Amino acid sequence: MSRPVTVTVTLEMSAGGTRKPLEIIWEDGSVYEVVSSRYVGRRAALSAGSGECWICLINGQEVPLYYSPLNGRWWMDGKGDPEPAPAVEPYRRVKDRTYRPPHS
Amino acid sequence: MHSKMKDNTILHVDQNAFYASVEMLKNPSLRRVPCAVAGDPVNRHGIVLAKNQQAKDAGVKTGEALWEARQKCPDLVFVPPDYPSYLYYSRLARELYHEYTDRVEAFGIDECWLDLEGCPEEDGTVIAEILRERMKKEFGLTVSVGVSWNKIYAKLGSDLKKPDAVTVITQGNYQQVVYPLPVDKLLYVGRATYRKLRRIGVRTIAELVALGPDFLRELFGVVGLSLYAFAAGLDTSEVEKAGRAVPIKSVGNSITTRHDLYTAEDIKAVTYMLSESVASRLRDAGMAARTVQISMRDYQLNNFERQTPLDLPTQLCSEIAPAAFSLIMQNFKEGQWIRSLGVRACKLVDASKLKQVSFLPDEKRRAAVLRLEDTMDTLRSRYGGLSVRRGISLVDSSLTGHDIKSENVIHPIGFFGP
Repeated sequence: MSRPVTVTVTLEMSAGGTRKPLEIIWEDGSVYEVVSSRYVGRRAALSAGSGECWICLINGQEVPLYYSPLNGRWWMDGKGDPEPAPAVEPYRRVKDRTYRPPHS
Repeated sequence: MHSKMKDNTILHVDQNAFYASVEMLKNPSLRRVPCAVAGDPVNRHGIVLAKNQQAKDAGVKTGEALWEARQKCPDLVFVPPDYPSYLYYSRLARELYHEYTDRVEAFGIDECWLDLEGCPEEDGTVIAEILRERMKKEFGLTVSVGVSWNKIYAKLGSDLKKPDAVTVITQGNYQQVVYPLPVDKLLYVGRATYRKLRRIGVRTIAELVALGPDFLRELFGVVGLSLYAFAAGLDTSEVEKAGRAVPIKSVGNSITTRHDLYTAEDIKAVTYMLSESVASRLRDAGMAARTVQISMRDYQLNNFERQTPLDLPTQLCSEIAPAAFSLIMQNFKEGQWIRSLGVRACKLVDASKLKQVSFLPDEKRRAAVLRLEDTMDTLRSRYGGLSVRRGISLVDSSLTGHDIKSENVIHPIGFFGP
């Protein structure tokens, strides 16, 4: 299983508008150099969500890096379990505090 | 029959359980539990908007109240809707369709018709498979696609196999695929039509076709002819080119209020709030209305609609609102609690073509009111919809604290246009 890990990315923005990731800071603060990368368009992530994707060569491994234009986040597929499913909240009937009974 | 040479150029793409799928994409842990996207019970929108497969298997239905759903499925997880995400993925999907054709017609947020005739790759079956694959790979969402030679059968096809599937209905197989289906699968056979058809013993689409156009016309009027064309695959309506401006026929807003309305004051406040949005949207569109229509739903969910002509075509809230309000009050009975209220401006005319229709000094006053309401529009667009409000809206801000115009979400328009 994998979980989404939000990362900080150092990016080179070219005059032509292309983006090239140079460095990735993992959630624990360790910095990884991106040796090379190629843009592959939109991809659904293994962990969660979907977005624009770069396949990056980091530490001799090819790993995907995702960017979501929806919220501007960058993330990668991390090892480990995804977050547990949300607990079931009891359904409560909502009492309307502004409710006034009709004057009869 | 149909002039088209190929019989598989129209596609209908339906994004399966769209809201629920997007939520599961955002948070994959939801895939392991039955979950439903739920409206907000505080605002009395407490119904199931979409559900995933596990919830469906437990019998949860779209549109049922949250407590009903929870009764059927005690471990059902409710997720609040996230419209920006849905709109984002809906837009991306449409961009994807546009790579294959320029004729993409949206039907609600999660359904589209595509017309491939004359496109570089015309074979609908091939494109349907490509779309299905790309949707899964690029967005992580599944679609079901119907392929046929008309829009109605294409939509029917996309309903037959889900999720993540392609159904092809051709001239060769439609009698085996479409005809045995229950008649209410057909677009525009709703509850009332279905009841009527059942009464005369029609259960399947084949039986509907067998009645023939003349009999159906007698039974349903002009709609009968459309029904026949739909059922027999004779529908020739075109897939609209995207971005083609559809002429606006009416402008309306409605709201289900936080609590039922039973005093004239409350009704007036809500009517004015709705009318302001309607009038403002009329001005944006450069249209003026000749008729005002109101719709009410009472606490027992009885629907009710009335309309009244206006003296002069107008785009002013100060003329629409009083007309709507007096129409409501004429039809409002004591002891009838109103749950939801709608105001609609119909019979629109082009405002720029309006000539001065009266020599009375009234015309001068109307021009002044128009300038005033225009100014309010400007203020609202700069500082937010709630920056300038009418005094009446302060009677109960739980009812009127809505920025109707910008909160307005576009719902699917009818097959025959708005």
